[in-house]
Amino acid sequence: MLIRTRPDWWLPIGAATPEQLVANRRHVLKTMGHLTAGAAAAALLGGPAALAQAAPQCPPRFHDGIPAPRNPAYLLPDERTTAFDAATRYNNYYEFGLEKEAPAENAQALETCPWTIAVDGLVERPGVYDIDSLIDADRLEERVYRFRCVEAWSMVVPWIGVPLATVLAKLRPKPAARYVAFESHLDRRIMPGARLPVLAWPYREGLRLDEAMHPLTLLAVGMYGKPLPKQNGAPVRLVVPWKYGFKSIKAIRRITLLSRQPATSWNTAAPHEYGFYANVNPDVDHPRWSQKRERRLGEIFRRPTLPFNGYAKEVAALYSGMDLRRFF
Amino acid sequence: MTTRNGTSLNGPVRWAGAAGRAATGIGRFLRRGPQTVRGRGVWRWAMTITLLAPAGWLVWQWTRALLGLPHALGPNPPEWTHRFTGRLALELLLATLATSSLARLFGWRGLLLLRRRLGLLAALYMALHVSNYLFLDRALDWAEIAGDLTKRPYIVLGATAFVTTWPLVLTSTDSAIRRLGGRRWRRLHRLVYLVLAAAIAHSLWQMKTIEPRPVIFAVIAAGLASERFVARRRRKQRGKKGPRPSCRVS
Repeated sequence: MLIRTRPDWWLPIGAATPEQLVANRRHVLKTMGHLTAGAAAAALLGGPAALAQAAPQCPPRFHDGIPAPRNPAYLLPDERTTAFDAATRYNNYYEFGLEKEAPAENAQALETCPWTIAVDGLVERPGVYDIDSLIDADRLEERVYRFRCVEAWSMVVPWIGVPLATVLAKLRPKPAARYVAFESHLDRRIMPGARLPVLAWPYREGLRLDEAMHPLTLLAVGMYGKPLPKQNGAPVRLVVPWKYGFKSIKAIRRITLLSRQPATSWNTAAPHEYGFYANVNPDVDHPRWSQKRERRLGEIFRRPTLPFNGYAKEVAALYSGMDLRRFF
Repeated sequence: MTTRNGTSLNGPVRWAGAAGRAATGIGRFLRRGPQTVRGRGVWRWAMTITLLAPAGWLVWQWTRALLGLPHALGPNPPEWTHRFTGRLALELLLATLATSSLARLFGWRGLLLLRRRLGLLAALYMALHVSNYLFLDRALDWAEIAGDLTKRPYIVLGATAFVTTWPLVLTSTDSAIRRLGGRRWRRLHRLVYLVLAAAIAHSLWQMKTIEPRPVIFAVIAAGLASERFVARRRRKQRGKKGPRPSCRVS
């Protein structure tokens, strides 16, 4: 039996400083601990560098719970909220494994603080932003949304976040911008699924600009009154409730404004099965299964699927005149 | 026996001895085959009970779920059950075919004792898989089921695999073997290759992206099929009909 003795200087890989932090160390050191009134005023009036001057705090704020008022316009009083256990132990997060139970186990290795999001493309304020400077803690609100996976299961989740429109407004998209593209975090060292050619990594998604600016589209940082669990897309994810769940990209690392429709991971992998729009539509079947009925997590028998996942009144106008079978 | 600092090694030594004897027993079982193994009934019943246990557990959990009691099937019970029964059915089907391959390759003729049981258990889990689909996933919505059978080829393949097991299950008894005679029975039971092909194709076609497990099963199935093909060719070249694994085993 080989008995290994470790040298005195040995440290485990888990003790390594996150790569992002080392790459951004000068920026981080400059902005740490400088949140005076003067600096805050400068941030409101100044350019992109000043906007990014918020102290990154780790461990993240709201460790014990996020105080966020419920938005009364987005409650679902007739629907039962899905149990927290179901919403956090039945996940599709292929980077952390293909089984539904794998992300809850494997995603805990993800380091979510500090977290920066790169913004580029057709914006007036590109740059690398700390998550706290993009998302205003005072404007966080709780909204109860339906969530429908393309695999025909669904849940009702109380998300906490801000409308994506408020974040995009801060970034000032240029007039030529017509689409928003998102990119997810990729780290093959901790993501066993990302080592397989299951999808083209990193995970990419995108929205039309009017979909992104719609009041329903949420940039979420929490659920069930607490910060997002890692398997649910911590620290920040998109929630687009009228589209199939794979559009609601997790662990956002990059936001790009473009003039042309961006490539998205599932559409690239299987273009005849997963479209760019991916609006919930019981009349348009997936090639391999019907989308007419769905299973709400925690229930046994299926229920009928609603057009646009029940948000037809709010979003159908975005697609008037569009052939929803062709642009699925 | 004691080590230098007085720790007794009696326990570990006794365990090593028992493990060695068990290994020898298993080896004897594998090599001697059905006629000369004593207490063979115990082995077969032990295996049957072990492989029936998941089905029993499923029935129990589903009873709890349908009665509204807490259960262990997760938030999406029909989907979980589908994955579970489908995987087990395919594994048992491959194990059934592997018994004859291993008997031919390594002389482990004792495995042939298990072949019929493994085959019947595979058919059982296929039946549970299909029942889960009909009763719990589709809730006997015949319009949806008809839609599936006409529009989804991979479901047609799965149905084919399931229906093809019926003549095999019905003729698995000793009396059926006697009535059909060895040659006719063997020819009928070549249908198992249709079951294998349809089941593997079904599992590959339902993949959303490249998943490791269905691909691994397909590779194993291809290996087993080619082993048989080679063995058949070799028998034909030798010009006689044997020795081949006996069909009168349980």
